[in-house]
Amino acid sequence: MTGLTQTEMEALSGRIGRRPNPVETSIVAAEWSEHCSYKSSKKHLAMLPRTGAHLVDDSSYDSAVLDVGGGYVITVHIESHNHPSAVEPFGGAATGVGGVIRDILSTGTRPIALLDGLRFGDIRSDSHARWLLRGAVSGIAHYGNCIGVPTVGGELGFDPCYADYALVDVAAIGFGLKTRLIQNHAEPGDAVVLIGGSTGRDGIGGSQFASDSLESDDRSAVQIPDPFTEKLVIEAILEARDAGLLHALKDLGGGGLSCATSEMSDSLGVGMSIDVGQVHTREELASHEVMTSESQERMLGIIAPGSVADMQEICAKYGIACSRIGTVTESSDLHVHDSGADLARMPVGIVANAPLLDLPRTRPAYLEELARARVPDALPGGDYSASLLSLLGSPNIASTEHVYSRYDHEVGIRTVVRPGRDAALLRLDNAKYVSLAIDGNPAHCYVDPRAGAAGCFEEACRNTVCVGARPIGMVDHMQFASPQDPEIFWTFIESLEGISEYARAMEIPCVGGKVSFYNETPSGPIKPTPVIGVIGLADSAPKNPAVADGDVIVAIGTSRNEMGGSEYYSHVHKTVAGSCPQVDTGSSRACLDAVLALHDGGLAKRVHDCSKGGLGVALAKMCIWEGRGCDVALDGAPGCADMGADVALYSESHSRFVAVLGAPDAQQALDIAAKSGAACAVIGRFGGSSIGINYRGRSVASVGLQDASDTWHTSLERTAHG
Amino acid sequence: MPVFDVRVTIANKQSLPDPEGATILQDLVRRNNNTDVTEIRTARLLKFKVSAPTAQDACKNISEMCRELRIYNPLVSEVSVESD
Amino acid sequence: MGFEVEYVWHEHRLPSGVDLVVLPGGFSYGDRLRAGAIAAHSPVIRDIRELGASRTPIIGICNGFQILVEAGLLPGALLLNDSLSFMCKWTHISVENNATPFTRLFERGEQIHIPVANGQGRYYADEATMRELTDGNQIVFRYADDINGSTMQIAGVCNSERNIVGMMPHPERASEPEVGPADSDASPIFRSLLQESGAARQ
Repeated sequence: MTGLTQTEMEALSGRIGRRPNPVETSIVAAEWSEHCSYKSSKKHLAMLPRTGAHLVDDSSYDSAVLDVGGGYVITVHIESHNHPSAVEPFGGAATGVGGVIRDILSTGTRPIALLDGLRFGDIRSDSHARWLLRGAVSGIAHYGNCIGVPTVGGELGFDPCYADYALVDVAAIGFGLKTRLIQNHAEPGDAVVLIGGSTGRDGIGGSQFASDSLESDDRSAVQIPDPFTEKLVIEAILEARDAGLLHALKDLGGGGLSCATSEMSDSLGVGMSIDVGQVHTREELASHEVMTSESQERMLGIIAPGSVADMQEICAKYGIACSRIGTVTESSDLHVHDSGADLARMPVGIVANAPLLDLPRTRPAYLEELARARVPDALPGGDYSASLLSLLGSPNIASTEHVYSRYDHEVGIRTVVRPGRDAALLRLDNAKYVSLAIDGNPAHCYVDPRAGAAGCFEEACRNTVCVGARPIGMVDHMQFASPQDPEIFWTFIESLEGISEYARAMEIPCVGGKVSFYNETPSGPIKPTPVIGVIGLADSAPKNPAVADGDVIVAIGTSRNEMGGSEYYSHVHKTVAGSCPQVDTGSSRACLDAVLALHDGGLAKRVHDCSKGGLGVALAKMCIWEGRGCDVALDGAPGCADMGADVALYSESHSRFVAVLGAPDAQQALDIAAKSGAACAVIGRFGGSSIGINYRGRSVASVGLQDASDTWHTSLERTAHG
Repeated sequence: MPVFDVRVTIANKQSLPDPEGATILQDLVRRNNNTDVTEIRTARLLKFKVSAPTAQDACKNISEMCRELRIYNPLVSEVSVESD
Repeated sequence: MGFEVEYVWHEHRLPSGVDLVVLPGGFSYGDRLRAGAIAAHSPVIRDIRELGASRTPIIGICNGFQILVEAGLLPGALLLNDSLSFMCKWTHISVENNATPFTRLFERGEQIHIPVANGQGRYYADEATMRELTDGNQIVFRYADDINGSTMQIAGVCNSERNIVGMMPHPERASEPEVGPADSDASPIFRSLLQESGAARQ
């Protein structure tokens, strides 16, 4: 695992004016890996809008920092740990949680919540996918529960494109006083300290591993999670923060000390001299191994030379190590030595900035084939009861309670809206509420990467307004196969453009993100899988008044014939056909505003967005949650009158919601929605013991509430243990 | 066919850390002045009863089964299989 | 609620004049070896043991309960749930004994809607211990349903003097309407204590 390509080796030699020695080569190889350097994506990421009212602009942070008022900030970060999880799901997922938590901690804020997005192959037929699911869930539970940070939400998806692979995305939120943020700065003479777990041979070469496909790896880069040490690191760092000891702070993630020291020096505009002999190790290591080990639960800090003893005293109280491993220098070099014997000396600006690429891209051939795919016929007889029940049991739709009940989602006592609903909502100390929703949709992104990615973004916004919060920022996590395949790279750029366009139109800044390439399974590339996290802010929590029989059900937003990538076609007809749902930014704004206005007016008892499985599944889930049947005329929903029952039930058009209102409030709600410019109509009422859906005067689906509820609640658990 | 007791011990590879063992060592054993103890490694012990022609066959069958069913992940763990 | 509260580091002594001790939930030492087993050896436990003997009210919640059991201050053992995994969910418990400093404001048999969040929360007692618990009226809370395989569906117990109570469910998560279901209210546990410690001070 050498890491540098011939071209890169030449570029490095040219820039430093000589051939690098082996230690220098391994340091640069770690930092110039795709995972650390973003060499394939960086030029293009500039298109994302990055300014917004709440954003505390400081590029030295590894997490987004957002001002939420009253002197407080929240921090947000998202990352994945796909390659490690695909070979060791327990340790891979657990250490993924640990890494994101330390990114939050590095700003000087306390982590208060975690969300995870998990994707695997088809667990119905693939026992290896079930093994990966069980391992990843156990790993997240093991780590998150132990460090006392609640796992408050996320998503779970399955697609054969992830066979023998796993996507494990973790997002985290931090909270703290703005005045206590680490003000990343450094003076020559400052001490560089390494805090936390000891350095060992585990995880060596991990970032390069994450930048290769699974076919070519040597699978040695296993990391062992130690959540107890992480908890001690969290408490020690926060105590040091309160004591004002920390000038600068950074998590050690991919690329280990090589990346942390070079990136920190580069962003602070200083040099660093690092003595590998001072690093606390758990075994004999070669110098290049010390510099590239990705052992977990470690933080790099810069403190005044006179504070080293105080820092070590705090760490000793928590039983963790704190080694002084170097000094900040006036030069602009990263200098690495072993107790005085020189090992490497290179300008940090060179180490931390890989030559960027502008890779070629072409529209994938498969899209032509998809465009010609035949759309399935409407079901003979026009009864969709069986398909509705079947969809409720689809692993992509069924309740994930079996998974989230294994995570402590309440520790810290901030959780107001729990997992299983549209978005997680947490109360803050300034009497405000922060929400976070993460959404991906590889089925849509496969059919149309641009519209699909914008749709993921809109879905996360829909989930945000469902809990009464207004979107204030977005984090994107772009997961694709090899960028060196021009067809893959085209899908990356299309997705990025779709996200950027929606962000600009809605004035929601991209506050952070991550790119993960080389997500390849033994049988080929994964579908484009951008995952979007939207952060929302609310002044009050939803009141959740009791729902009663006779309450009216309202459909907000216009349905269109957009069946491409629909769960109905893939689950029931085993096919992909039709056009992908498109986001119309005008309707999106109108519908999101309408929902927020209904919340503000105290009119909506419940609001739920339409996503996988369309209006049919949204209505059924609403009935299951409230324990009531319904009687609905679907042709009354905006846009549904002439499209055919299957499309009306299952099209996955964006910008749509179903809301529940008290009958006397219905007219006022319609007026409010109309004022926002949102299409809106009363389509039925709660009552009875079955989910009854009619279309143009005929029953098209009638499912007993108990059947629907049992199927939705128990399918995933049964499948996961199959 | 005779029945053999087969013990399968699954532990993190010696080259990988064992945080649980380390905590028991540092925070319980050594903290209570047992400084002569220098390492603790945890492991899971599975006890099988298996019928096979010989003890050697019993161990071989169980080894293969553990690998096939992913009772341990060979990437992380090492196993020892013993019979009396 | 009117308590003056001080956190005490596990390696320090308890301050004097303590009216009551709460051992909160958490994952002391990462639940390694057994939940609560290592923390039961913490220096502060010596002081807690003395306070317990002098009838000061002590409550252990979740990991605090596990520590009290491991320290021998409460009978029984806490084992891995019968689902073999961590479990975070809302459930119902009934008050079996309202003659403790923690339950005096409840009716006997009253139901409380309350969450559990634990991996090793299955209360186990052998026959002899169960006889003691029953004869001494030391079962404080029981689950309405068998959620984890606990002996007699026990959710909380007290010592024979009834000043030390341990419970696996989390009353602190069910004491504010904003963060719990509409019908959850475990705050009488804390209000009982306030009354108790107020009375003790007079």
